[in-house]
Amino acid sequence: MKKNIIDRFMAGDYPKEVADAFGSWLVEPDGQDAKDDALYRQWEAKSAEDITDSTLVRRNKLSVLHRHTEKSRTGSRMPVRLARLAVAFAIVVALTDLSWHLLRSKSGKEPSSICMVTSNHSKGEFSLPDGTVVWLNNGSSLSYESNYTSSSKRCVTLEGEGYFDVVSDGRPFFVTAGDLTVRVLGTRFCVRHSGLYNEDQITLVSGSVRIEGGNVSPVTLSPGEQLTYDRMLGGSTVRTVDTGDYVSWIRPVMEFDDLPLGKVLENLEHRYLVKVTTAGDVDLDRRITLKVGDEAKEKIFSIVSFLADCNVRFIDDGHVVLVR
Amino acid sequence: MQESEYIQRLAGGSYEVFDYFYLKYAPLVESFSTALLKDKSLSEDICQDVFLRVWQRRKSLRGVRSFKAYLFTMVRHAIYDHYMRNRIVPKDSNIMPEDLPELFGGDLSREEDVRDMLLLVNLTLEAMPEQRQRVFRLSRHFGLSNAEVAEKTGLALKTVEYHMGKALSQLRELGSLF
Repeated sequence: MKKNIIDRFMAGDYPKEVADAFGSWLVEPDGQDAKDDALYRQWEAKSAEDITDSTLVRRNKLSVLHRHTEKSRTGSRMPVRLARLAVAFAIVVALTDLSWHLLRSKSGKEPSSICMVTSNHSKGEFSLPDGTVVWLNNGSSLSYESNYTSSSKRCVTLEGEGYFDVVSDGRPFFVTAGDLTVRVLGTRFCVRHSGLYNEDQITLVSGSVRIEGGNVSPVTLSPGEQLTYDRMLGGSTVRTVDTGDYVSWIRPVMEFDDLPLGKVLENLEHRYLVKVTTAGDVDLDRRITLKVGDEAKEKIFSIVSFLADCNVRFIDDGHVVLVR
Repeated sequence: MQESEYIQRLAGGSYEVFDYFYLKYAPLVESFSTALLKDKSLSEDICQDVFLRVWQRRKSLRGVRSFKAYLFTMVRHAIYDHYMRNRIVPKDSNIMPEDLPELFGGDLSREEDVRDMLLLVNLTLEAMPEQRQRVFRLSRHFGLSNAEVAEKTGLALKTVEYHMGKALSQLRELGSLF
């Protein structure tokens, strides 16, 4: 029976010659309906629900696809790009050479808001009025109201990526990042909410945080846990991670000693707040040793590409591609 | 949100829905293709092509009710297309129905199975390197011994034995399909 042949072939391991013969047999017009029926049953039997894949490798493949699909995208993209460019230009003019700045909005009766910004090429370490320390990654911003000290709760809003070392003073501390709100007392954790990624990420180093919002039921994280929130699906997952990989960007020097390339790239994605894509057969398991200080990302990625025996391309400020 | 709503949004050009469908179904497309092609990197390429085509033809999704079923037609098309381009055309039968029992033990009772098996055997033979085909044919059709085949082809006896062994074991793999 044609169905048996198809089922057994798909379940088994066969040499190339047999696979070639099977393919030529499959496209023979003889019994095409029975063959299609058998194929469709195989397809239906595979369920997609439990294998949603958002590993680094899969995201890389998706962004390769994005570069092809963007070519066929319609005209609406141009104005968006131009608008962004204008904003970036305005910020550069305002900041000149400083790595960060305090921008006070015009004062009025309402509490005014204070905003901290890092440029695309620098990070910053800031102290809030209560002694809480915040590290902001490249191209990120943090804002809070001027009544921060007097209010009964401490509220800040984050765009981009920030690492928080919150001082406990009896008042709750809230970070709003997109749809999500993180509530803490005293603790250290990292929040990422960036347009570069479809997912927001909250990584807890110590203490405890409670996350609300975004149509998910509130979640409390324990140290070492990371919550990933898919902005599109509105769903979240919690997993245990090596938090060092996610907060290493705040250190002035990072050292990688004989680590797989995939892990190094994960760290560098956070250090430079860029999206790294690999194409072709770049070996993510290859081990490299590297020390990263305050070098520009161009320099570090060209060293990485040398060590990993591949080439590097910079698509725009936010994207780095390694190709073999 | 209902799947139909997702489909309409994708048809309207939503990148987010495209990403959502990709992350959800790409592993399925790859594993399905690998099962049919027995070639992982080819299957990954096919998966990328299929999703690119889904995007390019997104407007035609308006009338689609099940994305998974739609995706199947795209994947099937891509796999058939690959096999059509690499199609082996069966030549005159090298192996006759009466040869089958000797090769596979002879429990092929249905006529349809005999036809499929014969086709697969000949296609597999056709897919082998030319030298192996030649060795196998000389041995089967003319009843030559390995030593005689070696003499006739000018190959070393060891090479002839190797090719005969390979040819037989590859053909016997087919036995597990029935």
